[in-house]
This record gives sequence, C-alpha cells and structure tokens, in this order.
Amino acid sequence: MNVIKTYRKQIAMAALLALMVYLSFNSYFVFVGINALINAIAVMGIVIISGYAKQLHLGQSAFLGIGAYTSAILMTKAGLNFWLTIPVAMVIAGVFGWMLSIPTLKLKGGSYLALVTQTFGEIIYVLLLNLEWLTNGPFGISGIKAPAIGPLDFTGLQPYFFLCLVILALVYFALRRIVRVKFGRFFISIRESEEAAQSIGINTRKYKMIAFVIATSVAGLAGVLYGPFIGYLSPEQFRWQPSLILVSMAIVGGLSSLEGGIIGAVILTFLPELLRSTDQLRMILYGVIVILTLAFLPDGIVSLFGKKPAEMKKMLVSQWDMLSDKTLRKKRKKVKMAGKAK
Amino acid sequence: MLRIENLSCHYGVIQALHEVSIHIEKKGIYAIIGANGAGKSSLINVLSGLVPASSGRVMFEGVETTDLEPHEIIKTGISVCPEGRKIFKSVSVYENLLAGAYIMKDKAEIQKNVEMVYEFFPRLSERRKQLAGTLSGGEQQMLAIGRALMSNPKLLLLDEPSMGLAPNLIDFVFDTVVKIYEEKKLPSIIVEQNSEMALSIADYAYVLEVGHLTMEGTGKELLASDEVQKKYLGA
Repeated sequence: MNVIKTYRKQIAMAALLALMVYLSFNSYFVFVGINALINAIAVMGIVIISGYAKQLHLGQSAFLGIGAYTSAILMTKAGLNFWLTIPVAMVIAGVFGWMLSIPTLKLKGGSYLALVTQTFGEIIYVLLLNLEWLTNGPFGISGIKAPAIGPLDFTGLQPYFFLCLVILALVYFALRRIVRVKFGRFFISIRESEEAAQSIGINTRKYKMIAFVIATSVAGLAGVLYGPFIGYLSPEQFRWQPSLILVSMAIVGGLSSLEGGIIGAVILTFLPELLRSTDQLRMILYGVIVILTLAFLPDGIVSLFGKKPAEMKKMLVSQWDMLSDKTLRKKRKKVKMAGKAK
Repeated sequence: MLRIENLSCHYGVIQALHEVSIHIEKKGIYAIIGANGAGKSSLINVLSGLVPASSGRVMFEGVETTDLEPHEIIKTGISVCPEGRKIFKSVSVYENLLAGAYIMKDKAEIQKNVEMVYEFFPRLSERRKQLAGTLSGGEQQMLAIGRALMSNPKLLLLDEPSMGLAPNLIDFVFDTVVKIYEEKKLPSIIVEQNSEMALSIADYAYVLEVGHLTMEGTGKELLASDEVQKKYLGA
C-alpha cells in the first residue's frame, strides 16, 4: 500500500499514458497522443518557470517554434542528423530564454511579466515570418523527415509516439532531479518571497535566469519533436494562442508539480477531441472546464491525489464558500451583530 | 561601523532621500522614525541593496556596500529582517531558520544558532515542525527576526517589526530586541512607525521627514522633545 501511496502521481500518469497507448491503436488517437506528449514536455517547462519560480510565462510556444525551426533548418538546409539537432535546438532556445530573462528580471511577477513574455513570443513570430532567407517566411518549411537509429525507423505515427514517450520520460526524470536535488528550493524561495530569499543571501536573479533557461530549452526540445511529427512548419503555429493553451494545461493539471503538468497536457489535448461530437459546443466546454478547475481546484487536478472523498468534499466546499463570499458574509454578519450589541 | 554619507535615492523623478548622513557605532540600538512617506523604507531598501542610491555612499566596516546586490549584502554582515515578515510559508519553522543560515557552512554552528533562536523565542521552539504559514502574525515576526539572526550578523536591520501586531506582542518583540542586544552585543537599527516604542528602547534615534534627516538625539531626548511629542506621539 505504501508503494501506491508514495508513487500515486506516477501511477496516475502511467495509467493515463497506458490509456493513450491503448487508444493509439487507432491512428487518429495516436496523432492526438503524440500532440499530448509534445505538449506535456513544453508544459513541464512552464511548471518550472511559472509553478516553481512563479514567473508567469506566456510565450512558451515561441520557444517551441525556435526549437522546431532550428532543427528543421539544420536538417533540411545543412543536412544535419535529427539527433544532433536536439542539443543545438535546446541551446538556441535556451539562449533566447536567457535573453528574455534579462528584461524580465526587474519585473516582480504579475501583469508586466505576462505582457513582456507574450510580446517576446510575438517578436519571435515576426522574426520567423520575415527572415525569409532562413525560415522561408510565410511559405514555411516542409519535408521534415522522421529520424531513425540504425534499423529503428521512427517514420509512421506509432513508432514516433513511442519515441516521444521515451523522451518525455527522460525529460521528466531530468527535471525531477533538477527540482529535487539542485535548484528546486531556490525556485521555491523566489515563489514564496523574493525579498526574503535575497535577504538570506540567495542570488534570486541568477536562479530566475536558470529557471527561464531550463523552461525554454525544454520547450526547444518539444519543438524539435514537433517538426517531423507535423512535417511542415509555419510561423502561425507558434503565436500566442498555443502559449495560452500550454499555460492553461499547467494550471488545470497543477502548476507546481511536474506530474500535474503532464496530466494537464494529456487531459486538455484529448478533451477537445473527445468532445468533437458536440461540435460547436466543444470549445465552450473546454473553457468551462478550465474555469471550473481554476475556481475549485486552484492547485490543479493533482491536488486531489491521495485525498479521501471526505477531504475532497471539504476542499471543494471551502473553495465554494470562498467564491460565493460566504466567509465574507459571515464576517459582515458578525460585525453587524457586534454593532447591534453595542 | 556603518557610515551613511550624503545618501540620496530617487524613484524616477521623485527624490525619496535627500543627502542623508547617519553614523552607527558598534554598540547600541538605533531607531529611525518618521511618518508615512518619510523615506524610512527607502533608506532600508538602499541599505539592503533593493533600490540603488543615486548619490552618496554606504560604508560598512570599511567596505563600501552601496552598489552590492541584495544577496551580497548579507555576506558583509548586515542582516535584514524585511518589512511585512516575508517568511517562507510552505516550509516548517525549523526549515525557515535553516534557510537563514544559507551562507553558513559549519553545521554545528548552524544548530547552535537554531538553539539560540529557540531560546529567544520559546514559542518557535514549540512550533518548530509546524508550517510557517500557519503561525500567527506575532509568531511570524519572531520567525523573521530569528531567521535574520541565523547568519551570525554584525548588524541587524529591522524594518517595521511592529507592523500589524497586537500591543502585547509589540512589547514582546521589542523586549526581545533589547534582550538580543544585551546578550549578543548585536547592534541593530529599527525602522519604525511606532515612534514611542522605538524611542523607548533606542540608545540613539534619527527622525526622517519627507526624505530629510531633521532631528537626532538619544531616545530619551527625542521622547522628551516638544517637537517629537507634537508630531509623532500625538501629545
């Protein structure tokens, strides 16, 4: 039982992924599944920067774009091997992430940071669109081939699905190690109170930069996987809308845990597809689900794990009280009564 | 020990400090009082490196700290207990204290300091395993002061330690500051709105008014002065 308790998040994730594998015998769901895995990698980056270090980052898909374009250009124009483009794309995305971190370091979170990161994403879009000699501009890059290792050919949806799954697992364990062993506590100290972290001698500027670089290079990796999957890249794929969707995935799953990021990405990638039968209603339902999780589970779906039904109910009820102003009304009532007593 | 020379600071075009000079000796409790917007917090922010000085300089034990980053200040021996407590809410009291010793290496000494903080604040000892976010306001303030003591500082800066506390807790916090000074010979600077309390324990005090240093003297002198009485003590 204990094993189940300690690893419940991983078990839930494995169950979700197993479901995806099962569904993946249907080629349409494999397609959606690969999408979910790529999103999950990028969302884990958001968990690092926005969940752990509390720096709202609304430009993540631009870094997917940087990774995807870097890899695609190197493969189609320079004839480089797919595997070699992975580290290059991650480094370049990380360098852009570092550049983004410089103007944002002085912004103490909040709406300014949201604006800067989102605008940065749009700048990348404009660059992708206008550097025609490099990116082909609005015509995009096509003919991106899937990789192979010796006899293992990853062309075709199913093999590619398993490739993405393996890479997702590698990224998950690497990031888990980073937050548990290396930087996690520094990131959390920034989240809890940047001023206090500085007052005890933590170089918050440095760790914010590190968080940005990790988050964006992970997005670069996700981007590399995106290229051969879709086979065609154009700048529109990396504008701000997908960034917002990535952030909502992190929020729905649980912003401050890597597992939450994966769960959110899988659920929110499959949801619109599963709701396809409802046609016009599906985006509305999607929005409603995001709003409901924000309202009732501010710490995401992972916050339900390991809780007894009674505890879950209590959590939801207290959240409802808060939302419906009940606590406030109770207080007002008390004040009124106290006034009358006088 | 700490020399603040002709220090000015600006927020954009607004000047928050006008050529402030303060001289702090190695012993004693110093108070800086003033009304809202007098520049008290600006002064602390410059001292702790959060806001850059536009002119003048700060010297601490012969080292210029004016342009140091906030995280480097503590290594010079100045420990800041920030305004509004700012503790790490999602970890335990004990872990908050350990975080305070981030720049220290010697484990035995860190444990010794933890015990020292528990002696000054027995309430923290009772709650050592409790999540810091669940402490009362007064206990959080104690924890913030305790955390600031963990790195063996040479000078303690306390920014509004009485903020939002019940009167009996304010007494306790100030009594403890005096006790810390008496037992550890650790000089401190208290920046306070609660002028009466701050002046009553201060050996020496300064009065800030819209960015200018207008008065100084021993705590008793200022408490007795007509002007301070009128402006800050509501007499």
